[in-house]
Amino acid sequence: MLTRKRNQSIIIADEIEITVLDIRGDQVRLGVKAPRTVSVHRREVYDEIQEANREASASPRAALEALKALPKR
Amino acid sequence: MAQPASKMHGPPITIQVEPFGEIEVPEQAIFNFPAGLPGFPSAHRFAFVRHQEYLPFIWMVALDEPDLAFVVVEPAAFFPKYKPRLSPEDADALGLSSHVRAVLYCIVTVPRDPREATVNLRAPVTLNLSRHLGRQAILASQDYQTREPLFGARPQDDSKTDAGRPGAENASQGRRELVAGADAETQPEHHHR
Repeated sequence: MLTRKRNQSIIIADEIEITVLDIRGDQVRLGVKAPRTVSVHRREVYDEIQEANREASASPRAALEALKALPKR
Repeated sequence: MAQPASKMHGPPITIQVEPFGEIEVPEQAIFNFPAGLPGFPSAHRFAFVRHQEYLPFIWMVALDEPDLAFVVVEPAAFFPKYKPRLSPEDADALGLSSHVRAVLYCIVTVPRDPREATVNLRAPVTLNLSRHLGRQAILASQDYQTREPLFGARPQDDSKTDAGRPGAENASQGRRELVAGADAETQPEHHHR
């Protein structure tokens, strides 16, 4: 656990830098520098996408066949 | 003699992909996802298989992880007004610009009743055809849902989704083709900034 003030940063694995840009009340604005191969997202959005991906990949073959079996309009 | 723009001339990979059987995947049909997918960070290479019998549903198969695959659709076929704005980070990671446009596929989730299938419009799988690059872009906008009902809208006529496909590989396969990248300037499919 690290404590930072406005304009201070932490650096992770040599290439990811997180800076506290601003603090207003209970909101913290963060700046993130990371290589292109590293995706950066708000946790709750990321979790939702991750969960949707996992669900979608659970039995894709059955899904494909079920969709194929639907009557085409 | 001029060299072609692409230096990707490795041998095609042959994979067993149910339900399509054995498929030969040329280099141009392999899309690299440096960041993997959320939930699957090690899945870096994918191919997209279109088969006439399954359209408008397309099979997105991981080449390096056994059994990992997704059903995807072209969102425009179901949601003609879907025009998401990519974040600068996603556009940059994919090398997109006003000259190089993205192709989008959205992942479908199918519950017990397939009529209740949903599609992830919030995080489209985004491809740069000419660079053979892919990324699941998470949109900042909250206008689109992770689980948008697919059959709230009706799919367009299937023949339209086949028109003008870039790089239709495996023409001899007839009803099945792989979505392939292009070596030259890509044909624009969708415009997203």
